[in-house]
Amino acid sequence: MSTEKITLEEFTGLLDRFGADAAHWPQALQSAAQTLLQSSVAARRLHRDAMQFDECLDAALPDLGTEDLPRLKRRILEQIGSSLLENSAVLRFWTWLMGGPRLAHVVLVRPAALAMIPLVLGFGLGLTFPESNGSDGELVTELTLLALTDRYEGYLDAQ
Amino acid sequence: LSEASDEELMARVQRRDQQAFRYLLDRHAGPLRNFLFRINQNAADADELCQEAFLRVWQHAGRWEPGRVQFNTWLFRIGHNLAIDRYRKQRERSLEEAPEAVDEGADPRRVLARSQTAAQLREAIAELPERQRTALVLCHFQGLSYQQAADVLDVSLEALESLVSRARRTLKQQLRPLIDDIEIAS
Repeated sequence: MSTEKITLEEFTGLLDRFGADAAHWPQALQSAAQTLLQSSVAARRLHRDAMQFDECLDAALPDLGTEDLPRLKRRILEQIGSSLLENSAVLRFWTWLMGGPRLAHVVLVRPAALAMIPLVLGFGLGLTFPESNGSDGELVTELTLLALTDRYEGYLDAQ
Repeated sequence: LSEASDEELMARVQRRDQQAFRYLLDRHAGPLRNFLFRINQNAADADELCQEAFLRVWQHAGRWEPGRVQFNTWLFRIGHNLAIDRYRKQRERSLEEAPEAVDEGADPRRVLARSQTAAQLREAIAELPERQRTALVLCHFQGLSYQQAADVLDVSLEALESLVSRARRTLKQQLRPLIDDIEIAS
């Protein structure tokens, strides 16, 4: 048990910081504060005032009633549900893309694979279509259209 | 799941487990709503802010790091930040919706004095600097430990104690004449 004493001034500071409820006082000051309370009328008076003040505080801002709480919770859960629905497709795709925990050590595998698709498509096109001889212009037309730019308009006009 | 700790539930929420979220909501919606009501003294605002805070928890669950701060500290911090945003935008606060604390069956003079005191005290609390008010609410009303309250406000323990102390002293000063009236009435 601590044998330290506290002054009335320190006790006032204690009440200001932690209120009248001794359960909230720091452990190190409990014993000294209780000793002062037993021995000092002034300390008891300060403590009584602090208790009264705490009661006033409690009365001034009581808990909100719980009647509306279920409705609030339902509203929150509904909103969560709808956001889950909105995000689920995007989220599933993202989770798939990043590989999830099993592929965590090679996180870029799927994004890289996805990025390779146009390249593979290009090779595929190149191998499938006959080599351009520059005379029929068929392949050139198709590739110009595939370019998705407005150059094809000028190209078609020139035809 | 009802036995699971907040940390375990949050780990599940991070995996988009709605059931775990529901348990967190059951545990913390009431205290958060009371906290938000006490710092802005408007019940409708408290509901909206509480809803927004829980949506943030759901949307940003991945940002919560177990072991860094307790879940309720994190939640209160989110709520507090939202309340500050709202407060800054609105500025004008209404005290009209705050429920009157009436002690039924008591001496009418005492009831009147108490209800006047409560109303004046609410006004005085509303006029406290924002951080003092939040510190007082967290420590006195919400029952958070001083360390948790310091974490919510992102200040040191000493700074938190100082905020509470200054808040209490200011309120006591303003309340002194009214408390004397209650004593006279009783």
